[in-house]
This record gives sequence, C-alpha cells and structure tokens, in this order.
Amino acid sequence: MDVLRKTVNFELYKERTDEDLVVETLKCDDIYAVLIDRYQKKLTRYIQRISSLSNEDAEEILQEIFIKTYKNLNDFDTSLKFSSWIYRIAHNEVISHIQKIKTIPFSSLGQEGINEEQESLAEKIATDTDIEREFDKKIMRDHITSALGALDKKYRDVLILRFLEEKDYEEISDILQKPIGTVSVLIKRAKEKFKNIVVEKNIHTEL
Amino acid sequence: MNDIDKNIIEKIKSGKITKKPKWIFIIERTGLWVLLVSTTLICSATFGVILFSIVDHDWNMHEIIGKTFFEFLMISMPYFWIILLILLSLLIYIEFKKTKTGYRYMPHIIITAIALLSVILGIFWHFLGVGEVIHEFVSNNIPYYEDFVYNKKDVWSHPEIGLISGRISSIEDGRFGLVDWNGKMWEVYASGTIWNGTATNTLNRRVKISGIKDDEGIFSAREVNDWKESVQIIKKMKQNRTPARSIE
Repeated sequence: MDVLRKTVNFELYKERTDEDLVVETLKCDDIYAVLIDRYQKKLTRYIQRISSLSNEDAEEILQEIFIKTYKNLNDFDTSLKFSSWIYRIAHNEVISHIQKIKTIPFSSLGQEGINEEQESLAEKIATDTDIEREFDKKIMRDHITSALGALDKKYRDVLILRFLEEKDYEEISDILQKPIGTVSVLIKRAKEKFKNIVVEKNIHTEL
Repeated sequence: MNDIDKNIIEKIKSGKITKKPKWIFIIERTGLWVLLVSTTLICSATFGVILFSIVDHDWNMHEIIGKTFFEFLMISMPYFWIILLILLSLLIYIEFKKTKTGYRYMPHIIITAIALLSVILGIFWHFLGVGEVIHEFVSNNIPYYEDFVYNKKDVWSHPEIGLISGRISSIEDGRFGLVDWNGKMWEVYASGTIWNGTATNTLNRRVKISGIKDDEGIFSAREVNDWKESVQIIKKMKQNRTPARSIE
C-alpha cells in the first residue's frame, strides 16, 4: 500500500464518488488502488458473512473479485451504484467458489463457528422484530445466531445484505439480480421464518 | 491484506491483467438484443401461424367426419406451433433476463409483455399473410409436419365422401377442370352449383368442393367454397348427400 500511496495520492480522491473513480481508473490504472482500498475490508467481511470461509480463502476470493472487476470496468453501468456492482461480483464469485470446493456455508456451522459478525446480525434482526420484547436479550441472541444458520441461503443472503451490509432494497435487487418485489417478499419471509425458528428454539430450551 | 492492493496493481502494470475492451461488451450486448428481437419476431410469426390455423379452420367439418366438436378440436389443434410458441416464449424470457436490466422485472410482467407483443405482432403477420406462407413452406419442406397440425388439404382430398379441392385449371360451359393437391386432374360438373362467399369460377383459383364422385376423375359439385373461406352451407351435406341439381 505504501508503494501505491507514493504513486496515488489517496487523500486527493477522498471526496470522489466510486463512480468518478471508475471513470478515472479507465484513464489511469493507478487510481484503481483507491477503489481497492475502499472495498477490501467491506468485501472481506461480506465474503465471510455469506460463506464462513477461512481468511485465506476469503483473501483468495477477494483478489479474484478485484481482478474480475478491473477486467470488466468497461462494462460498468453508470446507472448502477459501483458498490452494488462490486457486491454482485463478490456474491457470484463466492457462490462459484463454494460450488467448486463444495464447502457448506454458514448453515452447517456449530456454535464454535459463530463469530462476532453473526452475533451482530442476530442483534440487528432482533431489533427489527418484536421478539426482543418477549425474550431475554442475552439468551435470545444465542438462539438467533443458531437460527440464522438454520435459514435457507436465499433468506440468509437478504438478511445479511439488509441488516449487516445495510443495503436498501434497490441495492439488494441489483446485487442479487432479483426484482425489488421479490427482494421485498424474501426479506419479509426471511424475517418470519427467522422468528419462527427462534420461537421453536426457545420452546426446546425450556423443555 | 494490503498485499492484495500491491499484487493487483503490479499485475495490472505488468500487463498480466488487462481490461476487456469496450467493444467486446458492445458486441455482446448488441448480439443479445439482436437474438432477443429475432426470437420475438419468430415467436410472433408462430402466433401468426396459429391464428391462420384458427381462421382457416373448417370448424363445422366435425359433423361431416362424424366427430364431436371437442374430439375434432383435439385432433385439429396446431400442436406443433403451440409447442414452438411455448419454447420460443421461454427463450425470450431467458434472453430478456440476461439483458443488463432484465432482472429488475417481475416474471409475470415479462410474460405478459411477451404474450402481448406476440399477439399484436402475430395479428399483424396474419393480416400480411405471413402465417399462411409459413404454414405452406413448412408443409412442403418439413417431413411429418402435417401429422401435428390440422391438415386441411388432407381433409378436402376425400372424393369418396364427396370432398375434393385444388386449383381451377380450365373453364368450360357447365363444368371446369380442377387439379387437386396431388396433381390429379378432375372434370367437375358445376351446373346449378352453389358458389359460396367469394368463390368464383376463375382460372387458377383455389377452391374446395363438396358433391359426389361420379367416376374416376369425374365429380359433380354441389357447393364450391373459396379455399381460404370457412365452409358455410356444408352442414347440409350431412342431411342430403346428393347433388343440388342434376348434372348436365
């Protein structure tokens, strides 16, 4: 990064939008470092949130994502947000990687695999539902976290994008390449299913 | 993690990674749209053929061939074109979804749009006569095609039950020559014959005739209908299988 900072003045581009940076990168390749710098942490977290891959695997995929994005910069549709576009590439890359290595993502995790990020997601979803009022928050968080693992991938994906990545419906639509109406239905169902699973788990504990 | 930045930029600088040129994307996108428009045109033409099959159908023929209307409907549906229409619609749906913003539309909106476009363009093709041209072309060039559609020519090529059809090849007083679809010559006696609709005794006109086969190559016409028009008075045939007037 230091080498790059010598050639690219990151401060100079601080106020520039991602979309502006894409235009600049098309003229000068060095500017791409600014985009990489902006997205590498966000994307690493996102990769791990949707896949539970190891750091090494996540890093490998991240590199692939940036390379793929760079190769296809001329295809970037300026009517989209750059973040939606790169998240879409990331999402597809993770799916393709998982299919290759046959890793079972997230849902197969036991309690040991639960990390801070997943707990954070659990809390955010909990705040968005009325479950919080009915259960002790601490106990509930454990249940919620394991409940997330029990959700279908399609529901987990939208919950992660909505509550952890804090994307709006239009962005989720662009990332997952689904109509906004479908995204809206998926989020609604995901929350319902999530709530049901949490309730079931609580009953189980009480028994 | 900072190594990622360095690695990628180094790869870019060393030329190991290059941006795909814009023209490749333009060609890909244009190609997809050309494919999409072509498929839509073919799909609408398919609907045009189905429309032609419906309009051109002799809907009351079931009485002549002794079937119920439903049975007749089942055996005369243009299955070939219906299956093709479904497959092409599916292809349009897939192609549209692959366009840059195709994913933003709900499936029911895309399906409705495909259906509307196919119907509107199909009606247009039908009135231009494209449906019939395609039907004729496929009939003449694709083996077994006629097994999958209502074969009007076949239905109207049964002199033993009083049905023949073809093109008028000569005109004389009280009779005319007819070449049927198999190239066979018929001498058709038409004195007192009812000429329905736009059917006229004109050279080269395509007609379908109901009446009685008198002998090999000799036929007495009771009614003559234009080949394209649906039969109007043929119901009477069932009640009375004899010619309307005596033959001169």
